[in-house]
Amino acid sequence: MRRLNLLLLLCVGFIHQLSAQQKTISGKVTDDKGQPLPAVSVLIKGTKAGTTTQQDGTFSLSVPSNAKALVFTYAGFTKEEASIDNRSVIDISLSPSDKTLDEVVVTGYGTQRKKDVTGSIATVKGGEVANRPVQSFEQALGGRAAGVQITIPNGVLNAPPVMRIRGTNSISLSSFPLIVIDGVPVFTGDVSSTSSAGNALAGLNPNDIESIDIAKDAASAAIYGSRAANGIVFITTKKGKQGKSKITYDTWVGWSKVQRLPELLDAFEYTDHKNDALKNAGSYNAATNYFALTPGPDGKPINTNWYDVVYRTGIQHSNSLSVSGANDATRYYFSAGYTDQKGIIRRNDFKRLSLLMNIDFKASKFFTVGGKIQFSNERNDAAVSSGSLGDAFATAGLGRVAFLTSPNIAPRNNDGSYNYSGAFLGVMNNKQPQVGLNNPVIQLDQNRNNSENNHLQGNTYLQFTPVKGLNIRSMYGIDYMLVDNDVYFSPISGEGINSNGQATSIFSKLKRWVWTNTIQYDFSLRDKHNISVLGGIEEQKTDNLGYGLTRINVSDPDYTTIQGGWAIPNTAGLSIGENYLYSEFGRVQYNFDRKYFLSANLRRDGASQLGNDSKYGTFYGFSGGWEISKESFWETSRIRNAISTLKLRASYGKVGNIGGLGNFASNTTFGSGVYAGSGTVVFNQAGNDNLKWETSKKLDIGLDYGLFNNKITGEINFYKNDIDDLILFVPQPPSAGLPTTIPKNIGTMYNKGVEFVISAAPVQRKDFTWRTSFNVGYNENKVTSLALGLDNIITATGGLERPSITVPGSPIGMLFVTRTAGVDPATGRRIFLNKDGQKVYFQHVAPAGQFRFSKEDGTEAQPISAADAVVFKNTNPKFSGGFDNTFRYRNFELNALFTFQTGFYIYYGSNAGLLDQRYWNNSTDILRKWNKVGDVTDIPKAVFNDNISNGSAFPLDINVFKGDFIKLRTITLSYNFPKSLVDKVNIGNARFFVAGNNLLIITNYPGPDPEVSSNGNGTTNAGIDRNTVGNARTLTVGLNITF
Amino acid sequence: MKKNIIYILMALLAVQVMSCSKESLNPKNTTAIPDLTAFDSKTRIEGQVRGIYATLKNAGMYGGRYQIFNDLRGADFQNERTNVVTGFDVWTYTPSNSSSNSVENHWTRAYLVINLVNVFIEGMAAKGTTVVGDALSKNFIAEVRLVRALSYYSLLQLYARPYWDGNGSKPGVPLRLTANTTTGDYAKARNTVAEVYTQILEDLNFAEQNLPLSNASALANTTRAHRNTAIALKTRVYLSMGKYPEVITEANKIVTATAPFTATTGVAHALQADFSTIFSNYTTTESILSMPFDANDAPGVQNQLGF
Repeated sequence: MRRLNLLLLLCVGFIHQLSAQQKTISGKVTDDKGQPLPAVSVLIKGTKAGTTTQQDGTFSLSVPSNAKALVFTYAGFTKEEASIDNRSVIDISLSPSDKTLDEVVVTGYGTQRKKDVTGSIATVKGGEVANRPVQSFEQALGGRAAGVQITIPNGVLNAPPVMRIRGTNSISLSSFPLIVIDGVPVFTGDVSSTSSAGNALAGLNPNDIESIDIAKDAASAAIYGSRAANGIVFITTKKGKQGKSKITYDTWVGWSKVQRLPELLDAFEYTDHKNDALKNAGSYNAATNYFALTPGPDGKPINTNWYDVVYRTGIQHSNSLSVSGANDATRYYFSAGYTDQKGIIRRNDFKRLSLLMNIDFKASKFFTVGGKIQFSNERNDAAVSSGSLGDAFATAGLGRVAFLTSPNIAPRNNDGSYNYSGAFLGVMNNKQPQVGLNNPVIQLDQNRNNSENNHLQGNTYLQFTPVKGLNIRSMYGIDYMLVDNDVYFSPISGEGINSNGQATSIFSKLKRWVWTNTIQYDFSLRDKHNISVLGGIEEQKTDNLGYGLTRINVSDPDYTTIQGGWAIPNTAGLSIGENYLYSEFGRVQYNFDRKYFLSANLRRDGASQLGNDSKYGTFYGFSGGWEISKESFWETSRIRNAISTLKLRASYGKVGNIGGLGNFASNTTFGSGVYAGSGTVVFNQAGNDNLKWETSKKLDIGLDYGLFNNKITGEINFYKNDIDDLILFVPQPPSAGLPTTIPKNIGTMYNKGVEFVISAAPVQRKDFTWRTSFNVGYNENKVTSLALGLDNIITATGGLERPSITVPGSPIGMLFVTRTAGVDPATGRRIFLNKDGQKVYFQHVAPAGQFRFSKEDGTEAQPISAADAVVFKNTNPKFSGGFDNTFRYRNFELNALFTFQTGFYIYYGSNAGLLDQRYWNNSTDILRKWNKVGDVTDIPKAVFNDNISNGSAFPLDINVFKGDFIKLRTITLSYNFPKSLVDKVNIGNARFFVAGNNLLIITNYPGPDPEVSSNGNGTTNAGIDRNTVGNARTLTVGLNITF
Repeated sequence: MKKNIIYILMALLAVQVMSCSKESLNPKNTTAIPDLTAFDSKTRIEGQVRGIYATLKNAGMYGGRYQIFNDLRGADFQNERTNVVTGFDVWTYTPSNSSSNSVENHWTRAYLVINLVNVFIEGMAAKGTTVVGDALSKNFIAEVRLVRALSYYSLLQLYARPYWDGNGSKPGVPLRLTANTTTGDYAKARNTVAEVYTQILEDLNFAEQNLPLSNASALANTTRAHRNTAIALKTRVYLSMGKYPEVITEANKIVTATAPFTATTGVAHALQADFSTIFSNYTTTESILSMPFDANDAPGVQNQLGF
């Protein structure tokens, strides 16, 4: 047959007509990307006669002369008809079928046809997060789904991104969504106890993800009841697909660099400037108090760029291999991945070995078993604090050290030895007590801050289907993490010098099991009433345990682990706890002829963390939908030509939040200690027996639309989320003497907004296609009430500075700064505004008869401090979204994703340090400083040791900037090797790509990166950039091969 | 086969429904003692007494900052490196909403001790006394009342006018004498300086009458109160009040008028022949009340003295 076809094909090339009755038609079938499609069925219309296409997509068919048309069908593609007319060659391109019809989304304890969904669920395909230079999938989610805001907080590898679905939904608890991987709610957050970041979600290789479904409203999330308030992210890992087994190999290598660092003074500028400042302070002394250059080994003055000491070009690579396939009885997917990523900070590395095994086996007609084992070993390594993980003011913090260290000294003395004096850098020729903090080279050479996570996720299930449509299912899943933390401070490094060296090892263990039993029955009545009923019981138990040792005073500097010789052992990282959740839930989904939809969810949860009198809560969600375009009046009307699909959805529900609540937060307890060698018992926690969930009441109204035969599709959503019973830790008057603030369900807040999505394929030609998609979410957050005795919540950054405040009537986490009114041209003094808005002039050193703080008339004024701060600007992005374009020309494809966030402000606290007039190095902005009477400038006269004028002592409005940005998040140029070529080497598909991450940032923000959070996922202290290491820009080159 | 699987599934479900026990929803906290059982044994009760001393010893109070803040308020401190953190607002006399609000921190710490004492006294009345017996109960209450007196005394030195200014008629600090364990309306006006001193003396007089003459060891005689501790503290309190005759009366109880100047009853307090001894051994009879400071019994972090 094959030979015959070939023969026929050859004949066709030369002969136009074979006979009068029969003619031969040949051609080639390709997909929308121009790739040949084999095994496409080609039938003569109205008959069963036909053929299938060859491996190269060609076919040849002898047809009766009266045949009118050929019909091409292929699974996953739309059926096409081609009229024969007088043609003998018919080339045709099939486009993928409107997958949305068969596409399903994960809805919690099941799936639902995407078309039938009445809640608000955004879906991101696994391919969109695969092969990116990221450590965990959610880092690549930014801009992919409307209403899902992702902020990469800093350039430290594997720091958990800030993730918000429809705004910040809690004040005291977590606002991070619930992450459910293959049915198991998994651990999230940073599990490292060291200065390296260890995101729990990094265990999953992004290349193993099939799809990510993000449930945003109450209807789609309510089935997770007490944990649904922040939205739910359902991850489905890859499973085998029917057909020949498939082997894929993905590899990439990348180079990443730090970008947009502020420009600093060099050694010469620094020395001159600081001497000027000393003179202005009246304390310059040519013998005892001055700054001076020091000759380096080459005889030239030392001029150190500390950025080069701290940062590097990080080289990264990743390799993933998978084997998958399925037959009628078995589906399997195996994968192995290894990635080794070196960050932009020296010694900051991430390595992950990951293995995944997914198997489903249909054991009999009634009964299916399956399971998954996913193991990963993640190594998060760092030498020393980056100052970016909530420790903004660490004296070791590399981000801060690079900013403030004097450029006229070097990390090493001319003889090659380390330059240090006590804990800090030595001053060299400067006649100063101090010109730097810790020596970063000593720390980078000697210290360790590593965290290794052995991470196991798995599940196994048994499913019984006694009759069609009825599924009884029991699933048991686990998420286990064994974390080894390893810290070492050399006795000559800043952190280790006082203790004569220190080694700390902490082992921590996080264990969770989840057991879910469900029964689901799907059936149809009279073909039109489609009903699905689900009921279930679930238990979840979580245990944590941690222990370790801190040993100090080393007996020989060669010992660097706790097992070595040390004088003193102390315990470290002790922790133990457990929590338990018991749930009963049910769901009913109904639709009439896929035109009218109704669904209801109910869940009752009991949680151990809550007060004795309020362990149980009931949650629900209702939704309805109406596919208007399926109505006969619509189908027959002309409007259908313009609006081909229109579906109205609405949902309402009540869900809860307990994420991040301590295991024993509701209890009143006595703790222990030691006094004079004997144990103590101390009242250490005031509890609340009535402590219950935070409650979110969510309303969602949405519209799905398809225009011009669904060439343009999209959705519009309106939502409002009213949050009641926010748990606030309400302070009592200090003289009440309570050991802790007491958690109470008392605050209220809301988020409301609009989401808009539009996707289209404006050009669909054989050689050239263009697909485009745009999404934007607008969110408005407002805190409506706190508690009696709690007028505001002031939140610290790095445990020190307090630039954030949450007050009723404003969005959560406003900036809280003291106002300024420029620089006095006559004197160069900083002008502050006090609480009452009056001008107060400041001079760091007041001559006799004058005051440091004075009023406009020269009389003494009350000193300005953080007590004069006002509620200033909003830090919550109002708009966030993405704009994605894919252009394909023949075998080339160009994809570019822009992401943006606008309508928010950032407190650029680093800038206060960059203009601090102590020995700290300054940004070149200081060259604009006031010099003489009449100078009009924004930088005050530099007076040595002045840390008040520019915002170090307390936060000032001059360091608040708009954060609006547009980023070219990813741009990928790829080339699909032609079929003819890859066939020769027996490869199914081969794709080569070059990609850039963060290549372009359009912003007026003066700091390194407006996508920043010094306080990570903190809810009330977002929008702070204090000594944070900026995000990397990465270039990658990769190859994807499928066999 | 089919039936067996139904049975298995039904059994699984039954196991799960039954396994949701009350215990799982009320897990035992293995690192803390529930409030309901804090007075169940002599160990726990005496542990609370020691805990009250340990709280007083905290670096935020007598372990360091109380003394340091008194120094910082003097004019002889220069802020050379423009430190704006530790004790800064004490030094500038401008309490602000910085996270290191040391003015508020000492206040909070002292009242934490006072409330622990109040919680203890009420807990003893409700249950503790029946556990340890009347005599021991009185000893313990005397000890904690002495600590309460010491806490109020420290508050008066930092947050009120001296007693001599108006004979104690100036505003003092709020007197809190009942146990607070949960949220409530805690609004309370300041008592006068005199009222607070009266309470301090009442506590110390009770302590004098009910404390043991001496404790079991030299260490316990130093780190915990006995009768002479209460008398000695009273001399200091009267000194601060400017009531010098009372100082003499109290001092006469523990120091003989003539050599060898030692206490004649209770712990025989006396000056050491070689004063350097007290720097190597803090449990001599010269130490009336000293706090244990060592690596495993530290007063907390930063600013602790003597450690």
